[in-house]
Amino acid sequence: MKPGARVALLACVVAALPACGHQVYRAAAPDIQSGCVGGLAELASHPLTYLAPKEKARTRRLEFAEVAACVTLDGAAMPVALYRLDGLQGQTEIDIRVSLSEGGTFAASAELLDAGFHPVKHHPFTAFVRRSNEYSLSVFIDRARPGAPAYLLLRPDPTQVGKDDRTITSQSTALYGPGGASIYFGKEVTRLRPLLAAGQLQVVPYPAQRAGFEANGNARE
Amino acid sequence: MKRLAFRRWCMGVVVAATLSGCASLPPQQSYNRDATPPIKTIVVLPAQPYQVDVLMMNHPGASIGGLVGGIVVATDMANKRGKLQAAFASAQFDPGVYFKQSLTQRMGERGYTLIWPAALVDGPNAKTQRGSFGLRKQYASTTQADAQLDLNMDFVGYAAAGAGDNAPYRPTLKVAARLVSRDGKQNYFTDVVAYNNVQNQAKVITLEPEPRRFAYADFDELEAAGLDTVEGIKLAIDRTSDALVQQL
Repeated sequence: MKPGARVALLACVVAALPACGHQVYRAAAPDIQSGCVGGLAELASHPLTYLAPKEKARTRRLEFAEVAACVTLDGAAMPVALYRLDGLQGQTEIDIRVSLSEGGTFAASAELLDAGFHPVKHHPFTAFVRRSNEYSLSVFIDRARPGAPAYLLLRPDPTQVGKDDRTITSQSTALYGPGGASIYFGKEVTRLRPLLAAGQLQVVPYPAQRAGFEANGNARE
Repeated sequence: MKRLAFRRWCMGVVVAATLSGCASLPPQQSYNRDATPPIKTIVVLPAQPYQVDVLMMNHPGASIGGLVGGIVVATDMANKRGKLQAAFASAQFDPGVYFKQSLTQRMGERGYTLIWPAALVDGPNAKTQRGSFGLRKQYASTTQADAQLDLNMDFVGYAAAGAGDNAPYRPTLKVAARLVSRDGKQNYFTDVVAYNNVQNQAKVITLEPEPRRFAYADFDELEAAGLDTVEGIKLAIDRTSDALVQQL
């Protein structure tokens, strides 16, 4: 390939790279216009199960709208996802993650409920930990204990929906020229991600075990 | 031609490593209060020696490439680092000492009593084996407290995303923390907190810097800010302490 053509090709690649970060994603809004039930006991619950051998945690990532159903609580219709915990045994860590995205980030709250749907423990969105490109929350349960939580309820946190997540980060660009020459540019980028009652969600339970002191990276995805 | 391809491959690896923040993280462990024996007193272990630092991502000198480019970058960064260290020394500010005060106060409010070592960092002859982010590879038992806290300041200073006006220097702090049992065998908690995650390190707890305060367009402006730069680091340390305490 002639040097001129190579430069032109590289320029095209460089020009195309920023577009990769701008794939249009829009969080799917859960339907709360129809089919609302009057209480949690009437909702269909999703069984929460451990990962199968070779199953990757990221395959559990989905839209909140895919698992949400409408329920009327305290006179207001709202989307909720109800997970059943009877498939889990003993001490378990439930890893809940919501993805940060310009197209919408799910401002989730998590609530453990007993078998009668009474609240046992509530985690507002502010209890989630911000980790670079997602928020995460670890919820520990012990299914072997009497009166252990029977359900996990996820729903939008009304105190956070409508706010924005502001992230200051860096963006690097490299331009390659003939003869292996290269120029690097860096700039600061501020990203605003709206917190919504919708967005991507990942809920994965793990048998609770303490991490070792040394390992090659983080074993969990 | 093969050498050129190899060189490009190397540069690609370097850029990818820079973008991902280079080091692999210590395995993260969330704190499970219900499954942990009651903890009131915690002995803090001596940390790895640290120094106030300055980081510029995408330094223009890197574009020169090769040994010459490396020397240009290293010389410039050493010069800036020296100036910032001198400014902090003249202000009699030691980020490690301030971190001790900040964390002790916040942990105290949470019901924990911290017992600090006489020397905050390992001496030059220490043979402590450390893994990623400076945390220990193994722990001895202690009778001094209910648990042990291993802390490491992986970076403390100012960092910029690039050389231009659109990449200001901001206070930057990265701290790894691990809480272990008194017998040194149980990992109760391990995580990394990054204030101003300019390296885009994935999976760490990320804290955003103030959008306008303590943001300096270039190093001359940073230098001219004087004592204000110390206040920026203090804020980063306080916010990091808050984040750590919230996890315990």
